[in-house]
Amino acid sequence: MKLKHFVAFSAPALVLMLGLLLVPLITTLVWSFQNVPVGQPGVFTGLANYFEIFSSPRFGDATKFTIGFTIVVTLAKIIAGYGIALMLNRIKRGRMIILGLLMASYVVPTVIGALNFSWLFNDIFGGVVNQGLAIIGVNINWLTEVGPARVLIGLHALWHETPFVIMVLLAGLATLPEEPLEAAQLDGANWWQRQRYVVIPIMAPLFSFVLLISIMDSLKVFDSIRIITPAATSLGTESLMAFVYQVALGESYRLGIASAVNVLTIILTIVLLIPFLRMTWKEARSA
Amino acid sequence: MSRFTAPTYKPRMRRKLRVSLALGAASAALALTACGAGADVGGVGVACSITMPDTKTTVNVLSYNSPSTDPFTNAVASGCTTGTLTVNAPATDFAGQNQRATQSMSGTNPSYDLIEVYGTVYPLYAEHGWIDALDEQIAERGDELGLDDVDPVLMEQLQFDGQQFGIPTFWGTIIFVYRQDIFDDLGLDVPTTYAEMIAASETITTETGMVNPLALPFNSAGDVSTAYNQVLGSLGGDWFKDGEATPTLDTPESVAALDALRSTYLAMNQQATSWSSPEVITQLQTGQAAMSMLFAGRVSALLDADQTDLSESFGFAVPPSVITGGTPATSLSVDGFAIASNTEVDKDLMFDLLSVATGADAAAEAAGATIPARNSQAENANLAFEPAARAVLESERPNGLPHLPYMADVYAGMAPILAQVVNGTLSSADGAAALQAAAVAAIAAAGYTP
Repeated sequence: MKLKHFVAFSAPALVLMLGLLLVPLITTLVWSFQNVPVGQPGVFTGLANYFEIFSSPRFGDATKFTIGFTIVVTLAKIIAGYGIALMLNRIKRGRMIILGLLMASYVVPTVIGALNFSWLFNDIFGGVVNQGLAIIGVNINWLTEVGPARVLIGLHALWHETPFVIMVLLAGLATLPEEPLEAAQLDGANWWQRQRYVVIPIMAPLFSFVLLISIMDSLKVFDSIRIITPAATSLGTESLMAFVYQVALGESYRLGIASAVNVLTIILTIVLLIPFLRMTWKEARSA
Repeated sequence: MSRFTAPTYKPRMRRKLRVSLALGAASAALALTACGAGADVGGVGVACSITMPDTKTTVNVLSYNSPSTDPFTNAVASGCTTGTLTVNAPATDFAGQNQRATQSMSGTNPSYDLIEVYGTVYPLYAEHGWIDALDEQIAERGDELGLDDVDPVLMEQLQFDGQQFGIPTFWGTIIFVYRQDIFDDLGLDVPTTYAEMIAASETITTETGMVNPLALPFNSAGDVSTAYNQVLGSLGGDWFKDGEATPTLDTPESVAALDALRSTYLAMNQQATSWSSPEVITQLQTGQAAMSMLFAGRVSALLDADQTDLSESFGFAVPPSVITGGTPATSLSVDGFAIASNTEVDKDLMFDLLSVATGADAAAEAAGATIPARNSQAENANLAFEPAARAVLESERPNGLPHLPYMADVYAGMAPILAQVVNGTLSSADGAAALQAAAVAAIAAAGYTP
């Protein structure tokens, strides 16, 4: 391909990336070292924003919640998604119908899904789950207590995002080569050994992809928190993105502080994704 | 019918359908065009008798969508879009409006020209010079605007530093809402104090089996701050020292207010800290609750027979005071429109549009859902909840929030602390100290000094 053709084809994408990705990224970085009152030029304050953030218990709580949420929800999604995918893979008739039904929670917009999901746990709107728990004498204040509220946010993430994991892993299971599995079976491998030593290694790229997406989704969790637990600060469900929103737009428009939190979140995201990015890079090189 | 006739029959039906649809669309387009061509009658039946600009002009209105605000917004958006003038009113929610307003008005390239304003935000807009003072135009054209039909208390709510920055559209005070049928059956009087309210709640539970008769918006994301303002005002407390950016939230009145919030919470369902107005209204509509205190602008949903079978069972009254001899535990909220200072549209045209959006026709359109600021339209609407709200408005202390540019910052920082006091993890004394510290920090962060 000639250089001018390359430039002509790639220029629109480069311009878009420059405008929508690089410029905001650089602006965020610059603002993180400034006090930026809304509508006024920023004033350089050095590391003051970072010092303020690191001395803020609220930021610490939001970071801990976000990391904990990411780890727990990602693991739960992979385990639940793989388990359901295995079950679906054994079903011969009606598999696509069941998969279609499972996908319903994934295709619903997060805000609407979160609202409806929360009603399952809200007595005022019927609270179907609460009614079920009441039968066995369990009464949980999902929307007003820290522990249950955190569990509820996690359950919503599972309900909303596990279908994506199921779909990807089911596609992987459906295209598994039969020879290695037959060989393992002839060698006397039991079901668990076949999964551990044959299926999962073959599907490693898919697991890596799903983990990557899940970690990114979990690190940016925001919509469901705003809908299910709007009082996130009080309920211990404030994620980093919810914290940024509150600081930048919900409370006092402190754009400098919010930018600093964003910079730290980007660093955190990169750190958590490095193993998967390395794995993907290695696979791409060996392919 | 033979299977062979179908292929010839179906296309004919489709052709007929297409012709019908085309005729229908043409008729609708004609009707819509005719509406627009009428020049001074808009889609909602609001007259827009203003001088049209000579050149093509676009005006953008920023107003959050709600049954209360929409009639006023539509008055200009639908009513005045004709000829050379286009008035847009993009949809936005309450939080989105404040964000968009701040971003638009603080820069040099405005996205919005006519801005909906309300209690906690307009002082900030006015102090920053983001909205225009309207005193000169009002002095020149006050008679034709008919502003003498607007209660002076409401006009005052949109003043800052003695200048008028907005014209009110609608208002509401927090009123007491109760199931009149249950109160009549049990011989209960409308409570005049919080103690009586809680006692009435216990009586209703005992006599009717209703588990949680009292339901107040106590959401710890923000409603609990409104509840705090109610009780603080009722007890005679203030948010700040007069004329100073010094909060007074660690006073005995504030501690007593926190005690009142805690005891009220204990008289409700433990989930009350997740309740905003919609959850409370749902409980009233479905018979799960029998008493509440709500902004008057929200209660029209209780009177709608399409939404509840209990639409004829509700009564409205002045809210109780926290203690005997106190003022009603209420809060006043006034909404209105203001002109963005950085608008590039001709300011006379903007004032014309402002007068349409806040005018008598728009008020008449809104009167079914809320209490318009114009007395004539409010009275003509004969709203069941209006007398209670007006009695509060005309009382000694309708208790609007202080008109200060940092009020929104202070207000936003209160809720998490109040939530801890309400759920008992923080004592009232410690809570009051924490409120004071948070208010001082919020004021400093907003760039103000005592």
